[in-house]
Amino acid sequence: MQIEIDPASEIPLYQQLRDRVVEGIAAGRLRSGDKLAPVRTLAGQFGINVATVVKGYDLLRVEGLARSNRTAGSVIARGPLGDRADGVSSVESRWDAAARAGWIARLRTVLAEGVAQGESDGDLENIARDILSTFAAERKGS
Amino acid sequence: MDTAVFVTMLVTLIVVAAIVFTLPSLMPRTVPLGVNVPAARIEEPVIRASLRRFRLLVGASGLVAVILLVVLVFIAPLAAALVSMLLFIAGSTVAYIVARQGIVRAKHEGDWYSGATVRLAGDVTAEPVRTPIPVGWFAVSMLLLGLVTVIGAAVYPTLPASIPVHWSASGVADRYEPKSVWAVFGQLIIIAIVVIGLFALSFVGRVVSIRALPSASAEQNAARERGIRSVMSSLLGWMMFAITLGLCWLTLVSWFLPSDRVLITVGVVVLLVMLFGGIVVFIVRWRRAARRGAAITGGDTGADAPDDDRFWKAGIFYVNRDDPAIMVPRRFGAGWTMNLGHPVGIAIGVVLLMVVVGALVLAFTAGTSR
Repeated sequence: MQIEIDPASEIPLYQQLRDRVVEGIAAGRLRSGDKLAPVRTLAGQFGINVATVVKGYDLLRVEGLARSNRTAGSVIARGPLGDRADGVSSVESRWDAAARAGWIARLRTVLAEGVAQGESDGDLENIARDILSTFAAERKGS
Repeated sequence: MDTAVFVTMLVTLIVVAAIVFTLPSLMPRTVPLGVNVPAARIEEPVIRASLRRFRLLVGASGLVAVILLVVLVFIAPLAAALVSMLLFIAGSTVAYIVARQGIVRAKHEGDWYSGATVRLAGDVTAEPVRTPIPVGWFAVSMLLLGLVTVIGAAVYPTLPASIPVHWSASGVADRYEPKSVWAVFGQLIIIAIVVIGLFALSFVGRVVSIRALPSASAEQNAARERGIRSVMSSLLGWMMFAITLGLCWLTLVSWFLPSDRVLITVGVVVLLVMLFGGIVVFIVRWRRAARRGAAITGGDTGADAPDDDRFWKAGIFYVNRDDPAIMVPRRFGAGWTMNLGHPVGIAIGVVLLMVVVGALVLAFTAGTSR
């Protein structure tokens, strides 16, 4: 899966790398068990510091979205509902409660931004639904 | 001075000049004369004007070098070859510096990258692309060398007591040595060392990183990378074979018909044609591979690669401390260059410099001792 990162952005490159991978998982372009490119290979393709890629991969690992595999390097560890290779059924048993609480806090901020800018609750719900259905459509397509 | 040698020198000069003349059209259009420009700016008149200036100056120095060679060749043949080639190298270096400066200035004054969307592209699931190693050419070359060695061993007892080991520029044997294993097989040993050296060199491709283009798809980028890598391997493979074939022929001639100037000339001409032909084919194929995917950069679709002129000193020397790549493809010209911001890259640079200086010193002392 090819991704693009913006060297001129204020968002750090490792964060962009992590974000693109998370979106790739949501859209089904990356599946549980998929191997991630070796850090040196990816850093070489971007022409960026190896440490930046390591940091991005570490973030994914801490979040449980990737894991280290002795033979294959880093592999994607989780996937959307219905694409579970790990056989775990409930989100709670996989997703660390504190991490999930952190995500809800971030989502809260993002939603607050929309509300503060004057978006209606209905519009915000529609936008969220649109984004989710794009992911679902891409998952079905891939 | 023999006509054949003069023609060889003239052809060499013309081929080199022609290659330098066409170099700008081998590069992707977003790096004219080694300067990064956004796709939306590739039609800028200043770029066209600078390329025209480059070609004009290269053409002029090529012409002056050829005239100098023709005039000087009857007075001092060795100096003629050296001076004309050095003059051409100096002339085209000036052409490059002067012409690219025009683009650099316009780019900075016009702030070409403001407003351009820049992205770095990479494939997070890519398997590392392995550079192919020219095993086939190596095997054929070694087989040929083995065959000639066997022939040499078979005829060794019948060879004369005195073996020619050096030929004058006109193809006449001018130095003999008493028959010995070294006098008979020395040249084959040197060929073997050169071929093994080239084979080892092909492994350098393994440490080359090739950037993905943000304007191309993952498949196009992968195909482009494979293409560039295999073109480089093919060149090294072909060089091994050409050198082995040409020099084995000359070795066989030196054993059986050492005074046959026609056979020696044929061998030298065939070797040069194979080497030059190989380089020309390499350049054509490199152009196709390097421009693949880059060609679709339309200007409004897709993002540009970021401006990385600051890592490319004079557009030729790559210095990027952050980049883990030891070698990268050249930005102006074809083939690889080392990352002088990487310790291993610096080490390679130092070794290369020592080899070049050593070769020059050797050539100079050999030239004066004669």
